[in-house]
Amino acid sequence: MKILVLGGTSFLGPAIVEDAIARGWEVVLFNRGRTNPHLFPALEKIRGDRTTADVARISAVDCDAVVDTSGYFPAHVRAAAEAVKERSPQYLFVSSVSAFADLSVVGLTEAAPRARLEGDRLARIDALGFEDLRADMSLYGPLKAACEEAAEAVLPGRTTVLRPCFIVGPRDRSNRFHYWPWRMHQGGEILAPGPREVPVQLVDVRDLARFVNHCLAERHVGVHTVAGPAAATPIVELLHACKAATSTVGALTWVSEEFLLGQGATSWSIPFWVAPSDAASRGLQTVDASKARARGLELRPLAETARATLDDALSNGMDARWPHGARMREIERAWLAAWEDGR
Amino acid sequence: MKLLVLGGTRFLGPAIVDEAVARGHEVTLFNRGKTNPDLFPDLETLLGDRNVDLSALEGRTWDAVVDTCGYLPWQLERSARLLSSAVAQYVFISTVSVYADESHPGLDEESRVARLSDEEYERIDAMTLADVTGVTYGPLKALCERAVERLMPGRATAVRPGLICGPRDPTHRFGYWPWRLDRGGEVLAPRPMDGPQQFVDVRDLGGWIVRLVEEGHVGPYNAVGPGAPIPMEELLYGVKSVSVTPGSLTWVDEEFLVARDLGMWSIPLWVPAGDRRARGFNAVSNARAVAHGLTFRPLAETARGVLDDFDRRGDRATWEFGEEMLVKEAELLRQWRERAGG
Repeated sequence: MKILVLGGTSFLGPAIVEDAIARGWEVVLFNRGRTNPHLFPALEKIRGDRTTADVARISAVDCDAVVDTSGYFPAHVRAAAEAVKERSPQYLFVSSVSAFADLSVVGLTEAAPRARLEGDRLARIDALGFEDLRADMSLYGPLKAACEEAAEAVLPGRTTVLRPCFIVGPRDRSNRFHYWPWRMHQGGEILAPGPREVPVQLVDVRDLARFVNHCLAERHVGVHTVAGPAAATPIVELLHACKAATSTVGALTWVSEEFLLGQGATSWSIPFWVAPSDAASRGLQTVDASKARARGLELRPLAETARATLDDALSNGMDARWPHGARMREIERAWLAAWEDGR
Repeated sequence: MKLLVLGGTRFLGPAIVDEAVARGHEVTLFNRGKTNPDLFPDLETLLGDRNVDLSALEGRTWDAVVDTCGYLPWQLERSARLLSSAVAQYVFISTVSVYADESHPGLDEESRVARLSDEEYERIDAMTLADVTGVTYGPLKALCERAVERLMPGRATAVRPGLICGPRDPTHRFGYWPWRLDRGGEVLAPRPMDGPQQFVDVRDLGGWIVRLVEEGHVGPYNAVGPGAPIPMEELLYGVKSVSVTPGSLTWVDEEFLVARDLGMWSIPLWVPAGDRRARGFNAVSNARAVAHGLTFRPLAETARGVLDDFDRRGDRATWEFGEEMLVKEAELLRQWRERAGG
């Protein structure tokens, strides 16, 4: 088996490459050589920027599958798919649960409609770039959906689309999940956003990577929603899993949704907290991954994800001074004081 | 260092021996050769029953002895008298049950220890292991400590653990929860959610005892963990995090359980807030032990270690205690749902 990975050196990419190498596969990387260039010195690399005419360079590669972990705009995905369509039997595009049109729906399955741009934004879709995306993150989901369609249009019946929920674990530099293992490791009084039943979903990057390669090995095509943990998980379990990964002394103080909204919090102003009253986000952490599970998605225990993430944080020097964490703790301190005052 | 371990093959013993060997110490075991006799084939084992004949220990010297199996004062009088000239330090594994008033929070090593009744004290030298009961266990352990201190003043260490958990645990106490939560489904969780829990992983305890010996620390130490007591909620969800089996906790009211004649530890680790002992039971001070190097691994490691130990023993699917608890649990959950529904 030989795979070509577009990107491959940031977060999900390395996990896919490591899993592929462990399977004894041959891996070729296509990227700019800017992100973590020290990774995988032994692999064949094609240098180039996929967002430019450089993408033609991959058309010379014979492989069994292409894995696209770095597509954000349909024009880029279309160009890559066109470049490889003669030489690669399968194209796996890593999309996102954001590609669902209506995230207010609980239990979204692959049959649910895709997000779409409308009107002027749709007309300009191939003119959109990273600056537009940074300026308006609401473009992210519809663009991912358009990327899915672009790949399927070029490679019908040969395209695999994976829609992961929040990807977490080693090398995640988004600060999202890392906050919790880091916070528990700092100890002290820890603000826990209630109610305890708030549903959470995440997928360990290593589990997602294994499923990516599993889909290639088994030639699974079509759309798959990818989410963990293995069972429905309320936020109380997520927090305690992170706490059980450290022996630092600390105690959780559960505060109510009403209190948090009163402090100006909104969904995700605390990582993985979705306000139950936020109807528009109700589907965000309740997607249905049963199709992927049935096709072989395996999910590790939360404890392993929490532990690996804490180890990753510590080995990256994320100590008490970690800027993102320190900012979060300032907010936390103010909120805990207000919570105490209100009681 | 040369270490003599009395016992050493059941639960805490192997954890001490493993650590001592890993740290390069020379370990001699003294036991009857009945419990796990094949555990340490490479170590010297002196055979003998401490209740009958200690002669195998005569004429030898060690840097220290760790006594993991003493329950009766006369056992310690005999072993400490014999060993006082053969070892520099005598480490006796005692218990937090030595304290007179376990309802008192923050018990430290200066707290008053329990006493036997006058009647029991009269016949103390005639007692056998059959006389060690829930009532006499603590006071007898306190007298054991005193016997060592009297015979080896300034050279005796008394380690007072509370609940010990982890690999090789022969009891069904802590181990029930990793077993139960890994089994999945609806799990009965007894309130109060914030009821404090203390426990120590046998590997943390065993490793620390070896370091106590290396550093020659003497006196009594409460050997309880973790750093601070954790709520039952944190214990159960932390343990649950090592499993992937779908399951959920149903928190059942204390009053409901008490009304069904259930009391402390009838559900493993459960301490009803209304129990006389509740305030102090899991609130023992570990400050002295921590100041002398006792550390605690993360809860997830302990939970994982317990499950791995079930697999090592191969009795996860046939664990009788667990199966009995499941029956009891199912009936309680049925009644709880009826009550909640009605």
